[in-house]
Amino acid sequence: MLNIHIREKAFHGNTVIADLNIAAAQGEIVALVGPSGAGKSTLLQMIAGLDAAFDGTIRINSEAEHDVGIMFQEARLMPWLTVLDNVMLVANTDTPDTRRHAETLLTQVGIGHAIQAYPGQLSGGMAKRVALARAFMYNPALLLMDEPFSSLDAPAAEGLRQLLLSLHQQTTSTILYVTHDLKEAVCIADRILLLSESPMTVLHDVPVTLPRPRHVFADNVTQTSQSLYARFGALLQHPATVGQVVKT
Amino acid sequence: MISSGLVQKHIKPVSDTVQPAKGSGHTPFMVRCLSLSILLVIWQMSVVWFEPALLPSPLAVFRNLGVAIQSGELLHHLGITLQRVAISFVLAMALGILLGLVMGHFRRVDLWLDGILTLALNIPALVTIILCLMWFGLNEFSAILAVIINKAPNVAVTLREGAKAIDTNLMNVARAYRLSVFRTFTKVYLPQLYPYLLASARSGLALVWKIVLVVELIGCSDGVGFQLSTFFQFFDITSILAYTLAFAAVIYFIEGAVLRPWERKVSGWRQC
Repeated sequence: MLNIHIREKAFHGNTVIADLNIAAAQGEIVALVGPSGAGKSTLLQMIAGLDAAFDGTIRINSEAEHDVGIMFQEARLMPWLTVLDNVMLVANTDTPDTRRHAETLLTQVGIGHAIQAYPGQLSGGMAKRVALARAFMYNPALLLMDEPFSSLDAPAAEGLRQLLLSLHQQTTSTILYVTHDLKEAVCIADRILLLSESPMTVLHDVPVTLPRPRHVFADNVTQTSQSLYARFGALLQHPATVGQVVKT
Repeated sequence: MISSGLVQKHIKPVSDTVQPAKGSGHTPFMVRCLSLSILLVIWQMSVVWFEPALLPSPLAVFRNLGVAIQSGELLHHLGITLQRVAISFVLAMALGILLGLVMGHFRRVDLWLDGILTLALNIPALVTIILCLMWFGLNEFSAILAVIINKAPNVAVTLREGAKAIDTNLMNVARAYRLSVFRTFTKVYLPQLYPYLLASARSGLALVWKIVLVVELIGCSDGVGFQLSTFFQFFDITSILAYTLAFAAVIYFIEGAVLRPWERKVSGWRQC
């Protein structure tokens, strides 16, 4: 469904991504794990069509109405639109049916009572829930998620991860989920791609076979992430990644 | 809501985190009426210290205003002035917005035009008015052109800042979700410019009024400015104040019927 081959992506003469190949099947959740600053966000921007200055090809084979949607690190809601209108923003048509669908999604993410509120009235976690509803309203063949819950505290982030997985079960979207936290990747993904930095490329492709549902606080997730860290932690190089995994 | 039992233990109910909208507070209309009434009282009290020819009482001015309205003279000249204000305001705003946005988005254009804009901003209004009247004659075109030359640079400077302040993160949301050009413009781009457009319109209206009056005073044979010039020659302060009151009434009407409702509509979300 998804085939990415990036020969080179350079910034000011420095190669940041080289010979990177990623493939994903329909409905698969693939976590991209690598040190902060490796170029993961840049890769997502390239896939989303926000950065076209690279040498390579990105192919998405899908019959879905929309190819790619993205959820950024920040909620990025339009402050002048209500919660409902923020979700309706990405809808192709404004009909009673699409409005009902948007309201249903907002209820599913727990914002059903605040659809007429403005983003300025929401907490950070609530804003992320609205952004999640917006992403699923768009219902793309490929959903890109760029450390979407990294700014939240652990319980709030876990709540949103579970919401994401529940919403994902209702769609056929493929998800590329960027994180620098191996434990989060284990919790959410079918496969984990471990990435290097300078230049970024795929070092290891690790399937995650733990039964679902998975919770980030559960023992099997902790053990698996520790085992992965023991095998690959040195390759991830960046101190931030090492610290986060060891702490668990 | 879809979530596991484990998660529900930790998540704060969302209803607790919605911030209530701020209250409307005092009634601004009443406060404005009160402050204007106080000004009227001070005016009435000051009358005793001056000769009536120098400072007529509010009653005398209102009586004069009534006569001028009844004769149709005031409405005729006010109508002509309003027409000039409307035409030059719309053209100056359109030109200023276009120029400001192009300068804000294209650095090279900004570099080329910045010096000219600074010059245009600092040339005294009187100079451009006199030059326009001398170059193009005492006609409608010169009058409106003089106003546009004076006002458009102010709008351009404000809108240039607005264009520079456009949030690229929000524009990237529009791009990533493949919003149409029209939807991107109306739902993402334009709302970011509203505060700048509103500020330009407010200051623009005030400036255009003043410049139109000066243009009419110097080079027109009708309009409020021309009338004021006639009253000046006859030292008729009562009529000058009567026309000023009529003027103020129109400004309050535009402010109350157009600008404030527009502001409430486009900036209502800021009050939440």
